[in-house]
Amino acid sequence: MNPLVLIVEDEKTIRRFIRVALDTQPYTCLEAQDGMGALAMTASHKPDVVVLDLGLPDMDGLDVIRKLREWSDVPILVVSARGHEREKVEALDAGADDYLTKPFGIAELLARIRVILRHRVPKQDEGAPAATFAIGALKIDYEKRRVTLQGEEIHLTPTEYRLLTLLASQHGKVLTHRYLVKEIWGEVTADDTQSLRVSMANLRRKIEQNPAQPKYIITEVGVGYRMVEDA
Amino acid sequence: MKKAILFTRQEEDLDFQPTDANPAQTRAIRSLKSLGAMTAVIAVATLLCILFRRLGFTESNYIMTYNLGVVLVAYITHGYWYCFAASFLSMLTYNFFFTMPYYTLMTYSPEYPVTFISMLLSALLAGTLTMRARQESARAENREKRVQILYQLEKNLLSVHSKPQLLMVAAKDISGLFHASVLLTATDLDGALSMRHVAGKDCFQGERDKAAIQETFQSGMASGAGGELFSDCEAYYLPIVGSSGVLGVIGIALAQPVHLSESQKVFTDAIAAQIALGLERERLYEKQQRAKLEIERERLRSDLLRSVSHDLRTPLTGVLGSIGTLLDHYDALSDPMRLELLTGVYSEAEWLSTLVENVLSLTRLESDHVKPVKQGEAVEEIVAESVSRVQRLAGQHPIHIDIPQELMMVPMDGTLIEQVLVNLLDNAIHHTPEGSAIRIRVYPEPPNAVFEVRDQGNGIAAEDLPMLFNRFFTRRTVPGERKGVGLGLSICKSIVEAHGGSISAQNDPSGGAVFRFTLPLEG
Repeated sequence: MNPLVLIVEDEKTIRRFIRVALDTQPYTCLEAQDGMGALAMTASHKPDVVVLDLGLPDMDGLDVIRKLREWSDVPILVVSARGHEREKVEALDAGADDYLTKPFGIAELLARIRVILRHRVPKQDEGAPAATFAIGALKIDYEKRRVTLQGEEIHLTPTEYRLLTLLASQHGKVLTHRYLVKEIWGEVTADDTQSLRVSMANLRRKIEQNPAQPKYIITEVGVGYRMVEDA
Repeated sequence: MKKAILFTRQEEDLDFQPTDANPAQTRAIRSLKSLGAMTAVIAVATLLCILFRRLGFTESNYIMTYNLGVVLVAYITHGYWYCFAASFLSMLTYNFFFTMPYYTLMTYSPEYPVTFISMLLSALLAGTLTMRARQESARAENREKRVQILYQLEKNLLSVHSKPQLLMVAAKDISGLFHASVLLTATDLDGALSMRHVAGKDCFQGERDKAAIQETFQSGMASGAGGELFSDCEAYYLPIVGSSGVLGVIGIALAQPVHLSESQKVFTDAIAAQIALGLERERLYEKQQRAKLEIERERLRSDLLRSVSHDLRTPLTGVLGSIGTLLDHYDALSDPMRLELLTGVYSEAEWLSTLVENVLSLTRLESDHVKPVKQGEAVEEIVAESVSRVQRLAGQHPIHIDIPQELMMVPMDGTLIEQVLVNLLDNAIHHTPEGSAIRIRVYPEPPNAVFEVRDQGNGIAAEDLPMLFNRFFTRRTVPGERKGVGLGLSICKSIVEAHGGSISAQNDPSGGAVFRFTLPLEG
């Protein structure tokens, strides 16, 4: 069966073009034009992905995410305008899975939905976790805790290794500064994002040829980091 | 007599020194001292008189000596009672030591009662007069001191240039006067009690205190410690009343359990009136400034609207025309023609999107007049993001990045600085021939970080250089090149300046333009 995508967007034109774009793909589309509709449709149809615009007429998009998260773990892709970085971070921290910046291209939207669906599958039939991860010339061997770049082993500190594996485990998805700091150091304080940046800079110097034009880990300014889908 | 008591009170107020924690104790000590002084003076007078008797002086000298003693007592002690007691005591000792029979309180001569009474009365009168004179001078001194304090305060208030400064100076002065923690709050232009300054310990944050402040602010009546309302508060609150209502509240927190005396309260009212004058002056000035700003903003808005609507219309015409053609003649158009029209629409829309983004950042920066939220950002991340955002537009322009090998952290609002770099790169891409390289370089030059975007185009016309960062300035462009709204660079300037940096443009002697901006490495 085709994956079911719920589009929550009050603007009819945008809803329509997303629908047209999705219809060319093997997806089935559902539409809701406000927050209440989104909650009702999610409950009744159990979609595989929710594409949620944060600016809705009846309720705050963040509240929609929080309400959904009370009883559903459906992946949520948030759509919001540039310059609203805080809103994005809040949405991600509230449980959204990824975000898109308006105005966005259709190719970008489809790519994000693909990433989300791909991450959803292993969650359901969780077998043994993969023993290795590879992207471009970068390989991680989880069992041996070994990272190689073009076959050459690179030495990472425990923090850098943790950072790399965190991003790799959810590659294609943006992970917020807050989330990363919490996963690595446990507690979140203001200074920790500085430590995170330093660790990231060090990690990039080891795995990227040119840290100013990164190939593997992309910065989402004001939000977090994302490991690319495929290099 | 009632009046006299009032005088004594004021006399107490004269010293604004910190009063002891226990006023009853202080008073007892003072009474004891006065009593001691009185006894000593009378004893000395008696000894003197005994000496006079040995020397064979007449009795009138004794009486004069005692009178002198009473005047002295009136001069050094506080209160009528001592003066009265001294008169009585001197009469008794005179009777005891110097009238027949000696060392008894009896007299033989019938004239002595008259002597006693006249002695008592003259002593009392002289003492009272002395005391009154002393009080009069103390009162004058007190008055002068007050006038001086008020004058000093007025002078200090005149030298300030803003409301916060005024609050600070006034709070400091009052705090120095009463040796107490002082809170000064004042209304902003919207009438909310939002500005505050505290000299000393901030003990004005309790729930009851906040309620008392509100009460005083709204009713214009004093409240708090020593008052009728909210007497359980730590501090005494009095309103600053100006011609247009309550302008603010003064809070004075003396060390518990001392309260301000009535006359001190009267004095604080005088101070409050002084502050009210200052506040009204500042308020007027603020209003003027705001009006000026409002006009400026209004002008900006209309300029923006005019310029934007013009620049929106051009690409929109293109979009509408292309789409209209497609809709009306879809079948008649060949595939390559359709593709061409659609590509045109796409690029117009993209251009519109950049324009809107710039207008939005501008309004965000101008309307909220919010300082950017600075956070340490890694320069390489910001540069990488900016470059990747323009990469697709860059087409044939190779972009070289030159940043230090070691990590460089600069405090900034990442998204805004990214916008600056994107605008500068975008500018370079649009104003230089295809294929020419663009170089972006960042290096530390303490106390700043320097960001440089260098192109290999024809440079900037000398006459354009000074106007480059002006709003709505657009370069007299080569025909066919898209005219910008002239917002990009002025936004860069606003953003960089809001960060405490500066931006400049110049021509590279070897050809091309260089845009350079700095950001402080600290803070």
